[in-house]
Formats: sequence, C-alpha cells, structure tokens
Amino acid sequence: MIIAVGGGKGGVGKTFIAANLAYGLSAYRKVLLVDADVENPSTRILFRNSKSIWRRAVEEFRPRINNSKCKLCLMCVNRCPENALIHIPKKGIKLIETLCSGCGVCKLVCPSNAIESSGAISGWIELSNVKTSLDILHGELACGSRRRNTLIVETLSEALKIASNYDYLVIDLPPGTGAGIASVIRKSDMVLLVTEPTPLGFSDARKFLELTTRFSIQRIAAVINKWGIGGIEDDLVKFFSNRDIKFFKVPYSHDAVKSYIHSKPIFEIAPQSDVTRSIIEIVNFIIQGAGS
Amino acid sequence: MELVIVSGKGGTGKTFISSNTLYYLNEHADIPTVGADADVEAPDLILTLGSSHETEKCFEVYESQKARIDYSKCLGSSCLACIGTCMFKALEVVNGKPVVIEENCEGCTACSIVCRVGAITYYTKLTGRVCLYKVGSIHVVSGDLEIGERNSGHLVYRVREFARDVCRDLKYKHVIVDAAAGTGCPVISSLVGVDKAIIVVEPTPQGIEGALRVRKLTKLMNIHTYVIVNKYDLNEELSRRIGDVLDAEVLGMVPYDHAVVEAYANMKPVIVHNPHSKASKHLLKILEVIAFSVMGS
Repeated sequence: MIIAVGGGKGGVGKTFIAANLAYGLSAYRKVLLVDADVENPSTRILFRNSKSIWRRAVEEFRPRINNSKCKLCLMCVNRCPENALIHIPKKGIKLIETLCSGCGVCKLVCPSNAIESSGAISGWIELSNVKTSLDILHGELACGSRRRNTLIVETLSEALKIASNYDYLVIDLPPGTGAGIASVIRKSDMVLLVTEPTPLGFSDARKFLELTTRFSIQRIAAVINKWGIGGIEDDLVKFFSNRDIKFFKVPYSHDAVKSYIHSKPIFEIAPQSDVTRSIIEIVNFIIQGAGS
Repeated sequence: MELVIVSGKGGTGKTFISSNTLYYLNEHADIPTVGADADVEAPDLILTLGSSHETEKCFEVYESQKARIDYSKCLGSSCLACIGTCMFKALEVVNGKPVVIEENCEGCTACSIVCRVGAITYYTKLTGRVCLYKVGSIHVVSGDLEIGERNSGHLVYRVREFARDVCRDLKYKHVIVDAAAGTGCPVISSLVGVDKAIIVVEPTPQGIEGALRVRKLTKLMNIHTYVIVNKYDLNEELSRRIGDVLDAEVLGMVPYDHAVVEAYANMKPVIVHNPHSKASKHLLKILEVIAFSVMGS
C-alpha cells in the first residue's frame, strides 16, 4: 500500500508525520519511507544511525557537439525548446548549460550525427536501512539543477521497483501542488493531507485537496497538526467534516518541538506523550484498512 | 532594487518576514515597495497582509506544451519508439499503447520526432495566473500555478517581470520577492538577477541543512546574502553560530512567540496585530535595519 503524505504548505509537519508514521507502522509491518522532498530531504536527519545500502547518481542528457561532423545546418538551434543552443559565427554551436533541460531533441534532429551524449548529474537516490523493518529511500537534487519534478519521478519509480519487498510505502512529499507532487499522488493508494490551523495552512490544504481529487484516490485522510495553537481549528474541523474526510488531531506540544530539535522520532523522545498517542491512532487506522 | 526572501526548508517564516517587511516599508518607513509572491504552488502572501483585498488586474500564462497521441495513427505495441525517447518519464505503456502522463510532459517534442506515423501533436495548456492585488494600500503581485502543472520557473519569471512593471508604473523603487521553499527551478527563477537575498532560518538540523543548500546557490549566483534567525530560542547556542555556518551577515533574531500565530489567525502582520509582543519588538529592530541599510545601500 502506498501512502502519500503532503499538504501544500511548508513547515506544517509533513516530514514529522510521515517519518513517525513510518516508524510506528514498522512495529507491525515492513515499511519503506520514501523522501520525495528532493530539494530538502530531511527524513534521514530523524534517523541518524541509518546505514547506506546503495547510492546512485541520476544523470541527465547534455549535448556535446562534435565540430568535425557539424555542418552548421542549425536544426538543433532551431528545435531546442529551451533556446539553450546558440550559433556563434566562426565559433560554431555553443550550449548554455543552465538553460538545457536535457530533453535530447537536438540529438534526434541532427542529420549529421554531430551531437554526442554527455551527462550531467541532476541528483542522487539512496537506499538506507534504519532497522529490520524500516528502510529509507531518498532523492536529493544537485545544487542548481532544474530537474526537480523529474527527480521526484525517478525516486518514485525506484521506490516502485522495490515496493514488493515492503507492506507499506510512506512517501514524504515536498511542499506545493505542482507536477512532481501530482506524479506521486497518481501512483498512491492513500493520501494523508497534513495541515495546521492557520489561514495559510487552510488555503494550501484546499489547493492540495483539489489536486488529489483529480485522481481516483480511494482513501483520503487529514491530519490537523499543531492542534491547539489557537488558530482556526474550528474552520478546519468544519471543512473536513463537511467533506466526510476522516481527520486526526495531533496536538501542538513541547514534546513535538523537542523531537524536532533533537531530530529523533517522537516514539523515542516521548513514547507516552499525547503526540505519540495520536500518531499511534493514525497507525491503527491504516493497519485496520484505512476505513475501507 | 529587488530583495528576495528564501529559506531552503519550508515553514521557517519566509512569508512571515516578507509580509512584515512589506508592511513596515510601506507604512512605517515611507519606502513604497511592491510585494511579489513567487511561491506559486502555495501562494499565501496576501493572506498575511489583511483579510480582504481588491483584485486590480489578472492575466493568464499559457506556456505549457503537452503531447497528444492520435490513436487512429499510432502503431501501438509493434512500435513504441516514443517510449524510450522521453527523458521525463512522461510516456507509459498501458495495454500495449503509449499513454501521455500529462504532469510529466515537458512538451519538448522529442517523441514526435521519433514517431514514424506522425501520431503525436502538441497542445498549449494554461500554466497559471498572475494577479495584482491591493491589500490596504499595499500592492502585491501573486502567481498561482495551475494545480499539477510544471513550469513553475517560467511563472515565477512572469511574476517578477510584472512586479517590476507595477513598481515602475507606481514610481516605486523596490520589490520584495517571497520565494518558495527549496532550491529547485522556482527558487532559482526567484534568485536570478536579484540584488540581495535574505535567508530565513530556524535553529534546527533540518532548518540549517535547508539554509546551507540555498546559501550554496546564492554563493554560486553571487548574490549578497543576509540571514534572519527565526524562533531562535529553540536552540540559542546553535542560533549564535548560524552566521558563521552560513557565512553571511545576521540581521537579527526573532523568538518563538504565540502572538505570531494569533496574527496569522487574524490575517494581519504581527507588528500590526500585536506591536508590543516579544516577536514584534525583535522584528521591528530588524525591519529598521532592512529599511535603512539593506534597502538603502
């Protein structure tokens, strides 16, 4: 079963919920925690003693122009969708690397076979082990790379390849409602929307929910994190109740802040706390069939 | 000048700093400044400046191209030449036929080049909207990416371009850009060509890691960078070291304060909602520095 944890806004607690949910589920089943927040992967900070199993670079295409074959027909320059190739008289065709999306169109249209493949690293994917029943797969974007969405899709497809080794995939999504997030939701069985009781959290949660309803997701549940901070708790309750969306309250408490500061799962920092209890409630909901 | 507020990690307080700075510059310091919300996947800036706003102008951006397959021409399982060509995993085989995964498609035309029967064409799709809002007396240009869409970098570019136009038309001198979390395409688009950047960081391992990533980017792009430490009392020892860790000038630190959440709930900047709160007092000192040294120099 694939569970995507998202919510639109940054800092509402997606990673906190996803990591602790994965940890909680791993007491019963085999779990792969997938960190798809490739611009800022931080699940592994919570599991410092995790050990790397493998790590590989993700390469993207870059053209290298073989001047001895190039007849300067300019097909590549004209067809490049990003305008990343320019013709400099007497110097030939030059690549503006920062504009190149790595689509490969130039190589396909060149009639003289003058374009060769050279690679650029857009990021890395790494599998690591936390404990017997919990592994982490995380994607990490190379600094300055524009391939965020593609790296999310690469990380997801790597996760799907090994999915049969696990009972649950818990995917920690980046903030936002764009294409990379849509790609993950398309492949998920359940979406867990994490939000916080502020107008900002609410607004982004709505946008995120609109995204999930575009796909035939069987199960949607919500987490109102930082419950009790004195924001717009009631508005969120009304919103989810009206839509028949099962929601969980995770209280704002010093225990959660402590877990965050010390970068340890809440199960280890404060096993008896209200926060841990509320996460166990979500774990049980999922193990018991997620309300199906 | 153009000043951008970034962070790496989400939820560290970019919009919090942006909204209070915008309000302070416009209402306290008499430095009229346009706001630009470049967090196009989750635009929230206007929600922090007031509970009501007027929409002055909007336009739609159509910059997304998507592939469409004509199945009456497609050779299906006997061909599938397009599948291996796509570098973005936007084509999948379903029941022996290639299917376009729309959100992954860049519209680059690679698949149509290898298609032997001309079955692939392209259509243009809405990328997002850009609007100029007025909240009280403050002008904010905001981008809203179509849900599930790519090309957020292009839309950010449009947001900044329009904000600069508005700035010029109003005879203002400054734009403050509230960027998205992260270090990817939309954030790079927010940083290209700006004059200065402020990284908002919280003293947690995740916060520092995110800030380091974005700092690497501002170094690479040669952008003068400042730091504001938010919720500094979460870890005072770490907070004191942040300037050195990030190799950037710290403008000041803001403590965790419940008044900030209350201000959010009331849809007002905290310096308006509760100017005497602990957070406001620290913040006002920083805003003075921004007004008279960061914006001025």
